[in-house]
Amino acid sequence: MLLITCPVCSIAGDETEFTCGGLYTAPGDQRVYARGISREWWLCESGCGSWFGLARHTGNQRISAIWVPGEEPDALPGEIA
Amino acid sequence: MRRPTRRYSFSSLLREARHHHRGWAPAWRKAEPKPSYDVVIIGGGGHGLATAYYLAKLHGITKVAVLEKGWLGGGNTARNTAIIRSNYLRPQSMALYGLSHSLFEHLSQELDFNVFYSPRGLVELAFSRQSMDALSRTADANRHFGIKTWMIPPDEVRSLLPMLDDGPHKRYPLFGALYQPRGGIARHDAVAWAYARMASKLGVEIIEECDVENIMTDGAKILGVRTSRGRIAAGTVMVAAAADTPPLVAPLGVNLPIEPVNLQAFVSEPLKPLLDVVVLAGAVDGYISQSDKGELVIGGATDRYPGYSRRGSLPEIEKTAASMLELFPTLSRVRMMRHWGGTVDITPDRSPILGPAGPDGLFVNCGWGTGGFKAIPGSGFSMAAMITSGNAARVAEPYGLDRFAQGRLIDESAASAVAH
Amino acid sequence: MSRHSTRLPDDKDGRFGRLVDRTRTIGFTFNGRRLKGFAGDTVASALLANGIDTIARSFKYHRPRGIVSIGPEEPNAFVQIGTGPNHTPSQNATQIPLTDGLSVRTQNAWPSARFDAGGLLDFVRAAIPSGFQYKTFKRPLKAWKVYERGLRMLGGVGRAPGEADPDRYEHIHAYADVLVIGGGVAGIAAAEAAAAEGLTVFLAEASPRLGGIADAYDGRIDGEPVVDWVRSKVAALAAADNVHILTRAQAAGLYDHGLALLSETLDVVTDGPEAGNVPRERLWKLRTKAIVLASGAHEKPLVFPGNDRPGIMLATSARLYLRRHGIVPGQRIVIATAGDEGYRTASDLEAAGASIARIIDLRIAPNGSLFHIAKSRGLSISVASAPVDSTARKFSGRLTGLTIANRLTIDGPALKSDIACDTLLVSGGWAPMPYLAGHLGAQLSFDETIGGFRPGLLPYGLFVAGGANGHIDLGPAIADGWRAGEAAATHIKDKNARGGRSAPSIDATLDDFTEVVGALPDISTEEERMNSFVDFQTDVTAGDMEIAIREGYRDAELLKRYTGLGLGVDQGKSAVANAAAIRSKLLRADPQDAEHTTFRPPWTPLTLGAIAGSRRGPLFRPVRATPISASFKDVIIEPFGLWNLPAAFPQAGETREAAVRREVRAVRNGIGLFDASAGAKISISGPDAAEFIDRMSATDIADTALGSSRYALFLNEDGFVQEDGVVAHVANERFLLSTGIGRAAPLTAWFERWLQTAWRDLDVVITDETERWAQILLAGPRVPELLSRIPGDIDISEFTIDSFGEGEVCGVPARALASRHTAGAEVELGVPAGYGLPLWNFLLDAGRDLGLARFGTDALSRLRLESGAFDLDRETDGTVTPYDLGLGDLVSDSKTYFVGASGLTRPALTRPNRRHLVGILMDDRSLVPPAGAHLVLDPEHPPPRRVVGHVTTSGYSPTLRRSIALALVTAGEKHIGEKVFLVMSGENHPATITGTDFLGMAETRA
Repeated sequence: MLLITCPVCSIAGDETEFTCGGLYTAPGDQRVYARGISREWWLCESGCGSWFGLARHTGNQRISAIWVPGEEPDALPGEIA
Repeated sequence: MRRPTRRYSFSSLLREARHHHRGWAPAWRKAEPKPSYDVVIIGGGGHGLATAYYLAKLHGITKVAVLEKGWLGGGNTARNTAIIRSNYLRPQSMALYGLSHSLFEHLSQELDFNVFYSPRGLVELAFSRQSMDALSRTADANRHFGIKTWMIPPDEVRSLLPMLDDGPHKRYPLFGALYQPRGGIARHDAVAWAYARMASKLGVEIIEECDVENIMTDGAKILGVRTSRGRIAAGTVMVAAAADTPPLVAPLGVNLPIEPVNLQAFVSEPLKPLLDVVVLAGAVDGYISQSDKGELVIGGATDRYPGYSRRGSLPEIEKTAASMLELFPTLSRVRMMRHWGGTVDITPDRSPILGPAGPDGLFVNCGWGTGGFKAIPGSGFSMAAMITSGNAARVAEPYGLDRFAQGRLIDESAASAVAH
Repeated sequence: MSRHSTRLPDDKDGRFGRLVDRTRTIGFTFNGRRLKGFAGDTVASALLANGIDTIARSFKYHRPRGIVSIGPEEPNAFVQIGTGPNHTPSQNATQIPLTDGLSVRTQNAWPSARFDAGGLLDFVRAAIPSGFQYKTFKRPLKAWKVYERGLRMLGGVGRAPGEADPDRYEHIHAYADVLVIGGGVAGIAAAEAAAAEGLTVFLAEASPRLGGIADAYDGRIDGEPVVDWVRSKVAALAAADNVHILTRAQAAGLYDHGLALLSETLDVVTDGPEAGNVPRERLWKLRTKAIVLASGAHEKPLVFPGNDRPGIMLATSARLYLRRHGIVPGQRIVIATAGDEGYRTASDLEAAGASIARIIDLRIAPNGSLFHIAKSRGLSISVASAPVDSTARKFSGRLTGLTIANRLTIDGPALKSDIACDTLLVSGGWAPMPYLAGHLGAQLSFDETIGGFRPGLLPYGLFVAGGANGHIDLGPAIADGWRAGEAAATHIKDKNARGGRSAPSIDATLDDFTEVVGALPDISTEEERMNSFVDFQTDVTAGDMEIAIREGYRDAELLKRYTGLGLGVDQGKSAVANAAAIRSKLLRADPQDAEHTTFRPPWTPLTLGAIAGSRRGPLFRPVRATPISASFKDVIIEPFGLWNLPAAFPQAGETREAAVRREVRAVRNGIGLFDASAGAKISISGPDAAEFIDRMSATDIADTALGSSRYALFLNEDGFVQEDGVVAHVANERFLLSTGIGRAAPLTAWFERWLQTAWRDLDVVITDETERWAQILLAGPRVPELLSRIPGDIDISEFTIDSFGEGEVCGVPARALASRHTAGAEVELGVPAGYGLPLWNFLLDAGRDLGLARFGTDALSRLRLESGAFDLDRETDGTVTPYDLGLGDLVSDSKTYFVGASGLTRPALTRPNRRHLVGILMDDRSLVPPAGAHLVLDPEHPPPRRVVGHVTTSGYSPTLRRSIALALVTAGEKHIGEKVFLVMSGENHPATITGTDFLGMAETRA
């Protein structure tokens, strides 16, 4: 079970308190998931209600970055282009 | 030296018993890759093996290799909850799953391998007026199509399911159920083994631990595959690798709208018979059946985010356990033995993607999502027909990749609201 | 019946029976027989003390089985515990504390464990090896039903309880820097080392006591006897503020991001003030920064023909039963050992006065001090020997003798001899149990020097210590525990732990590891392998494994699935290491490359009740009720998603349908009152509110005048109808969207998603106001009359279909919205939630003389049907476009962009032969077609039959006095007036396709 910290309200919680919104792409973007580090949208559902960015490895579930929209990190090591 | 025993029967078992079972032939030959084949199938799960079998059996195409990167049937064929049904809503789905269901009826005999196909009856419970109406719609669609399902009232549900706790005190009152008397289960692993054995007998080569690195083309048509065990030439390649299909075909310009998600399931300790039908309960996101070995096989929802981890995860399991105890409170002291996840390949309309894609000679057979096991025979049968002569594949034809661009979806999200 | 195992009458100076209190007798029953044990017994020790040897039957061949071990690795001793509501199947007898009045029963045997009809299967065993079921029962097809019934009856082990569980379960979330799993000496050392670094430490032990199996060993640690060393360390840990010790807590699973699942067993309290307060089990979800796995090792059984008889037990377990419970396992004991453990047990048994018939040492040249001591004491020892066969009593299956062979001559004319004995204590060496690491994807590698799996590359934050890490002896295990505890601290603090502990000074004999005897050392024929059990519980023999491998099921996973190896209730714990070694041997592969199968959680079975936790009964899915209808009595309540809402308000003696018709007539002729509070109400405000809602909605909204409202459609990205609702322009830069029941959460999330991720430049605030307002729908021709009687400042007299007003009614803040559910005069009054019920009651009183009636969701649906308006839940299913519904007018043709606009232009969405929403009038006016019924043109055509559509909503219209229905029909708009057929109860019923405005049609006709 993922442990996620919301970058907006700083509250850490189980994945059940958040909602994944799919790839961190613009609407209409046709890209699909692949194995490796993917950037995603997540919603702090039980907390502040903010959508934020998160980089997660879709295989081993390691979270390598988390950010407020607009403060996207540069390319992460191992990230899927 | 005696000749190896190939046919399976009680008398061959007795004969072998006298020789301490020394004489059984391998179920399938361990093949070494040859330089070229007519057809290469990537993915040694149920769908790949069934396609290979029907190519050889019905179309005389035996220069076929099935490449499996791990162990045979080790993907979603090994991780599903083995439910077989054809009570789908759309005519295209009824044709495909109905064909598959009918092939299951004689599969053990056709393949000389008991796959424990058990058409014990399946009920899909309705816990609200809306779901009653939706299931009635399915039942009537099935009737006009010729698939035997019908709605049954709560009393009949209770007589099929004496363990069910329902009544006015419950969270959800029981309204009725969609009943498919020929719905059931099978021994999932055995289906892969049975197809592998017969395909191998007919000359198909099954190559395990052979990882495909990429598919080779000249831009217009398929040339073969490059694998961890060398290059293999083939004019026709079918990819049946579930959620691993998109990355294999993406370099060829084929973009499959497939999302990988882990689907959660668990089994209980083995118990003496207590549940005689398969139960789907979409309202509470759970489904349950009892295997012939006695384990309750319980499926839940998918994880709430995509991933390839194939690991069991707690949140969905907790919800599913709670749902099962809401329906069957007497199971509270029964214990879970194992829980696991399988990475399913979900499409936007919850229907598979079948057919040619990209360069000439490339076929995909994927996107089965949460419902692929029951479709194995039908998928193999219709894909073999499609590979051999495109026009003979009526059943698979509506499932082409172009349907997404055209909006010609085969929406089964209602039918797969409970994932299985 | 002669008794084999017995309890020593006294404790011989406190040496034997340390844990039992011989002054406190505990009565229990086994298969109905009244027996006695002592306080401190487990079910297993109490059964042994009573001389009971055959307590179970195996899964497949129904072979008689006895207790093999004293730990969680036990493969045989699974029994049914408790009766009635407390009935619990397949409990490991070695893990259940004996309690007064406990009922213990054998499973999978009829009529009893000693005389079991199923035992006949053992006689045909040769014909039904692993995988036999796939090879037969195929023909004739018709007989399969009978075969399957028989197979199912033989399948299963325990019986499920037949009554509801009286106990409760709970979950608890906690945090610790370091979790140490296993309270043996390595776990104690690891906890001590991590705690010394100032970290919070959780020490979880599955059994009721810490110390693991240290009490099986003599000698001293740092000058103290082993048991005292454990006691003082535990006391120090218990006293530390930063250490939490949890006993009877089994680590069940390890998950991502440092989550560990622990299952704690508690003693349920059934009377007194605390009755019902203590859960039966508590599931801990512990988040950690590091986990030290100190789950120990288990002693391996020996694999030889007939190795599964009652009376054959693990040597160290037997020693522990003696030391802890004062039990001598038999009258004539043989010990077969591949290491020193057998000698330790022999020495104890001798001291207890038992007779040791022989020690069989599998090693070719044993050289440890214990061997020499035993030899010098004159014990009969057969070196370089192994048991190769056994004999047993007819029914109980109790061991009666062994055949042993000299291993050096075994390939030639073996020197064999027979020994009479009733007990064989075996030790095949120790196998580490780091299997929990597998839950996190750790690969374990086979270590030939110990004959078991050791952890290889470990996942992030996981450390393995002691026996689980292959350090079997006390001293190395403790040192390894310290190392792992320090490593965990270093991992967390990102700097080196203080460390500096020197190895403990151990005064104890170390095991003679000079020679390791692998599994199946001396079995050379198929027949022998067919009789050599690897997994006792599932009856998988070495011969079964051989057959599977011969047939190509060579991969460890395939082998497991084909044979059933490791799939029993014991999870195959005692079989993993032996099976891996045997598989390598059968494959003639390098043992170093031995594979294990995936270790799936849980490590030991978990109670379903515990997994569900408190999500039971009223907490399963808490009901949502509105502030008004929560208080209703004598109404028909139905679930609507999470809500429970009144469906109808039948009067005395009235059927539901009669009530619905009366309620509909009240709305058509007088006034109806409906609790609309469950409908979603979402406020959209801010400078860009109009722009936002225009982008989201397919309908033009921005130009809605202040104080008026508009009906709007919302599409998903594919162009299909997703939501509908009334958008009111309630104030400057503020809109209010009113839509259906249960739509608030998904709709708010959907809006926020677009707002926050795609259009961050828009300044908009979205608020879900659903629960803040109680909403009452007043519908019917006499509504204006009723409204005129309500004190307040909202002027509703001028209300039209698109009006909205805010102000006060009855002295409380209120808003009024013209709505359009019934195609008649209607208005929704909203007041703050707490005022809902008083307003409802006020309206009921005020309208009494106006023909006012309450109505429910049934009547609302019927009213809507009469008006021909679509219901999102019924007429759409995610594949319906606005044009299909005949609502093309609602799609903006002026906006350049809205969500779903591009999807709507795809070819399949603009085809002329899509399904359209139409009306259906049955020729038989009284016949109501069920929702979901399909429409066909040629009902006599055999299936598959062409279907032209299906009924979405239907019902009897009290207003039109006939049955009416809505349906989605292929190109329906072009076929108005044409005939279709419905097939109901085997009969064909003709019907006519019509428009959807039933009320309009009625008026025209009138």
